[in-house]
Amino acid sequence: MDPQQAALLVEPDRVAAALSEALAAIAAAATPPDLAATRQLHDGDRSPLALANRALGSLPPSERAAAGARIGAARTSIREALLAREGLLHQQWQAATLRAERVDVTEALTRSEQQRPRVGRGGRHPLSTIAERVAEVFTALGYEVAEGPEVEAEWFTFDALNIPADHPARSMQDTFFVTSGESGVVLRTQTSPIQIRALLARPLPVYVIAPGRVYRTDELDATHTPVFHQVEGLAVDRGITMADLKGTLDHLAQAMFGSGLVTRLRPSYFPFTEPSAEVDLQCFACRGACLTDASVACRTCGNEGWIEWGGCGMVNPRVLRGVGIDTDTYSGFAFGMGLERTLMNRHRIVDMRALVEGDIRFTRQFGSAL
Amino acid sequence: MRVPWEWLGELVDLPESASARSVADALTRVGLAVESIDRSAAPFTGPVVIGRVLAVEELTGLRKPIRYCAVDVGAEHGGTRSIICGAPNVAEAAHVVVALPGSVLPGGVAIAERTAYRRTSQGMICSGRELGVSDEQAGILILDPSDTPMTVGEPAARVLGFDDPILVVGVTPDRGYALSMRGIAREVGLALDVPFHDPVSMLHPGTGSTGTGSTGTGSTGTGSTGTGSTGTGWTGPADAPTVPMAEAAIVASATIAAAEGADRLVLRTLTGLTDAASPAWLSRRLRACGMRSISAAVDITNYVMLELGQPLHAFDRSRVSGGLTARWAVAGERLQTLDGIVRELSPADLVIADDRGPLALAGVMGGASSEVTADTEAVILEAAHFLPVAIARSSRRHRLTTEASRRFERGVDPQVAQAASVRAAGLLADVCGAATVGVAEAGVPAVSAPIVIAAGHPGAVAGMPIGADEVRSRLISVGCAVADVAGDGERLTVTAPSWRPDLSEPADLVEEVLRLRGYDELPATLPVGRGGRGFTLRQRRRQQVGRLLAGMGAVEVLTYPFTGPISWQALGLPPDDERRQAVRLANPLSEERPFLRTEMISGLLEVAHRNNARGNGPAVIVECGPVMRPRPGMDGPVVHPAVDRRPTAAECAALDALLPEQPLHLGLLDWSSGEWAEPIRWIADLAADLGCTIAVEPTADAPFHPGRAALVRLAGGQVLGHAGQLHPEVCAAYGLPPASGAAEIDLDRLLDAATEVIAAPLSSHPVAKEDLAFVVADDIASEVVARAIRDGVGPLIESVTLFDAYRGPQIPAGLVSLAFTLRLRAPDRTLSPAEIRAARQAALDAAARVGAQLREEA
Ligand SMILES: [Zn+2]
Repeated sequence: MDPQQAALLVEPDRVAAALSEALAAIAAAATPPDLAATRQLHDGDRSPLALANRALGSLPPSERAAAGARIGAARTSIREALLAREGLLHQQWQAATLRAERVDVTEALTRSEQQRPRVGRGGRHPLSTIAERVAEVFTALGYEVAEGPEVEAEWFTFDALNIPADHPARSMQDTFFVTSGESGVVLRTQTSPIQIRALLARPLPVYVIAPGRVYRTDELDATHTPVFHQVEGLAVDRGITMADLKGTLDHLAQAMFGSGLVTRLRPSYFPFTEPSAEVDLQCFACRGACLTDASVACRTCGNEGWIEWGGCGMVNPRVLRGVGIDTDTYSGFAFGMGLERTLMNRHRIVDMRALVEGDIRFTRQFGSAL
Repeated sequence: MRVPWEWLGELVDLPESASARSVADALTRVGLAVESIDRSAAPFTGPVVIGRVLAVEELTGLRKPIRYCAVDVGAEHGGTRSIICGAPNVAEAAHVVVALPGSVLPGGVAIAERTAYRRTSQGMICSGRELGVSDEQAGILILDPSDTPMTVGEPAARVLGFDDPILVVGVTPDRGYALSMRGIAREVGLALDVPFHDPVSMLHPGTGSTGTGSTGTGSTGTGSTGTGSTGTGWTGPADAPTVPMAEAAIVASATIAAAEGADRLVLRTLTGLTDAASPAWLSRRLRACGMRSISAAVDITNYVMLELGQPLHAFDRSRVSGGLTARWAVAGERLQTLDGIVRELSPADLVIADDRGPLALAGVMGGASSEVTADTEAVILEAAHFLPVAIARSSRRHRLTTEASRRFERGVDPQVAQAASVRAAGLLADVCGAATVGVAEAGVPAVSAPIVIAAGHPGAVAGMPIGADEVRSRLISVGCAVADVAGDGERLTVTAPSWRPDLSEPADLVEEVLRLRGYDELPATLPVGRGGRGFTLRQRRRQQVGRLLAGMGAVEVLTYPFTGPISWQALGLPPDDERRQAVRLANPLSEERPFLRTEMISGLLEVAHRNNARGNGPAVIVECGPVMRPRPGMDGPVVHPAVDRRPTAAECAALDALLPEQPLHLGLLDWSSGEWAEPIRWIADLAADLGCTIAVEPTADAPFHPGRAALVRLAGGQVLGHAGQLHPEVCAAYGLPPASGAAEIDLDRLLDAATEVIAAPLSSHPVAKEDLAFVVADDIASEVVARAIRDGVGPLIESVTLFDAYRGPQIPAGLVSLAFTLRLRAPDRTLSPAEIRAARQAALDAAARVGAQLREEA
């Protein structure tokens, strides 16, 4: 390009004029298509400032920097104005569109329902249905279903269950605390506080089953989830024995996993039961054959013959006294097990994440009952 | 607790047939769950084997003595190898450890064949230090085959104690005694019914224990022999050097000035301590138990803790001014603990202090100022009994859990302090040459209160007969003293041994009897509840809702109820929206989601997004669950009702007042139909199934399209929630189709409103249909016209449904044409044409009153 012509193109006055023209045009653009045209005109390849920019190369080197800065600043201003106007027009356009799309919402109910759109097949989450199934097994035994809040007082979650403030058992379960450590409120770490609420609210004898969601500060992985489900069973009556507990667990095992299965109890410790035990479920896949027959390799139980299932015991007399029950006359048992584990075993679900991700393909497999 | 097999074998007479697996199973059966069986890993790899020195040739004329040895390393390793060795103690016939070429010793030292002094060395004869088994480097390690059987050529790892099985026992918080070899070995003895040798009884008679109460009944049942293995330095204090009385002036005095925190303090002052390395057996056992070897003095305190369960602490005598006192800290006092952290103490912290101030956080960690160092010549050895609550509180307050605090929190045998002190003194004498100059004691620990239990009680709890003799013998076997109350064997007075503070009620004794009898022997009986009424109406309705929604095609999901400002932002909730008032967690898993959910839709949006990303759907998903809303007053004072009696109604109410509201909500997300009305219809159908009708009115609330969403009310006017099309920005934020819809309602309210069906009489007379089209202002809802018609026609109207709504060029702007079908029917007759005409006119009149003019005959 001719240097003189180039010098003309980059003159300060000329650049300033191009800028003010562009800003005025942008402000005047009333619709998104208007604005698009304005952009082409003032920020496009053939816009005055684009041409000026191309002329820089033909300038004497000493003038290039100043002219370049001038043009750059003007173009930046134009682009910022375009962006701002674009946002505003989009907002206006959207507001107008939303206004135009307005409907008479009562038509949803006044219209005849001749043509409802079809959606795919539905399904219930298997954790919901297995909780109902367990509850059903126990209502058939004369139990009632008890409930309690998920955000629960520490007193119901720990103190009333014989877990005093400074007892190591309090830190056994990694607890979510609400607001501050002193709020007295936690996300329940187990369904056991429902025991206390049931015993306070119901006349004796008490036979209740209590499925519910519980929380611990575990990260989600293939075998852990911070939010999971338990089912709690409680029987308090005259002469309740540990044999009753064993028989009840066997009954549940058979109802959930197949006739003839039994459970095994191993001594353990829970503050709210004494004696306490871990419950193992006889492997429903090999029924313990892997223990006696070396040729049987069982993946379900990992050749242990048993599957860890939950915890149980005789309700600690301290707990019963704490709800005003005469322990000379009454005794009770309680048990709790994870519904995720039960479900995973029952349906060979290998990864916990399947239960929490909400993949509709997973849930649809189960239909509406188990 | 990590339990090395070789150590266990020293305390229990394990049967020949016992394997780590069988002992693990037996322990698990009595309530000490063995979580895994580890093997102690050797710090070296490759062919490190046992060799026997056949010949030693002294090389002369060198600057230092060098020996050229012929060593038999077994046929499998090439028979006899020639090895250069500088150690003075290498001798013919000695059993040594040979690192053959290809092996790698601690520190990454790779062994290869090499040439020196014009001879080839085919390996290395190792010292204890080179093998990482001890700090001994003065000579090579000479093994004693009479101590540990060994064969030439076998891997040295086993002989050096590295391949030893280690039972990893999960100790439940009630069984503090099992955090010691003494406690575990006792249980193994019980589980296998083999003799257990109580290390406390093995101490020198007369000084081993503070009284008969502690161990008197503990070991008699299984026949303690009083003679342990001598391979690991068992020496009573009688063997320890004594010092002249003149030195007694430096004996530290013991004072307890915090009775609620400490009830026993035994201080032993020892002098003449030399800095020595721990013997290999000791450091090996510490390592097997998961502890690091530090110095002989510190290692010995740790070792005795592992052995007897009594945490010990050694203070450098020269850095202690006067005696030691167990007292509560004074506000403002500070202590730098051994981990280097300077800690602000509170009056709830129990400390061990000298004249100048706190030296240790009692039962948790020692202080830096009195730490034992290589220069320490005199120590004060502290063996104390602290109360569990005091230690637990300090440990929690300072977020500091140590081997000592774990034990004190779970209960240390209050009677074992003296024995532990004696035991440590013996080891310090042996290893470090230290001599006791004096012992000061304070405090008398409480003794266990006797428990009265009916002999028949364990059997009654179990539901099977258990004889009084069995009850008695099982309780004695765990260390209890048992006496008859009345001499008739009906009621027993049982005194728990000092190491079982967890035994305080008959129920605790029942567990002891049953676990030793074996839970496997419990019979199985099935009790049934009386008068159970099955599911409550509300529970059945919940199930009904779940099944109905699935039947209608919705897929149920369960989302985590954690949320945060990011989600609220994405929903477009205004800053003052009440759904931004949420319950916050003190320790959330994610800092982005520290709140509990106040609405259901954002969780469903995330699930929909995930499904979309996986190519699933479109679909309708639903979730039922609580939302949490702060309640005024929930930050009020925390109540702590006593737990030894029933809480009062007022106390229960005060507890419930701390909790947020947790109403059950139903959320629904439809990215399938693309119709704004669908979410409203889902709610209407659900309500209808529960016997309820709903009404809707426009709303501009987030996260909905301001012109295509409804506030949903029950017929009675109570607000149920929202339903309709989502705001396009919300759909865009989650990558969903632009006309996706959602609904959220308070399911509790709907369930409350659910009614029992009262069957309507159904008319069998024919229906008369009338189609009417009206022109009406565009802002008059079709429902207003329909309701006017219904009300205007009265009982004869069966239904009014809209079949067309038209806006466009055929009618003036600002108006809409609404076409309705009226169904008319009487319960008792066929309607006459006159009646139908009258009804039609009533409909027209009523419509006109709301501004709707008849357009034409449809
Ligand atoms: Zn199996």
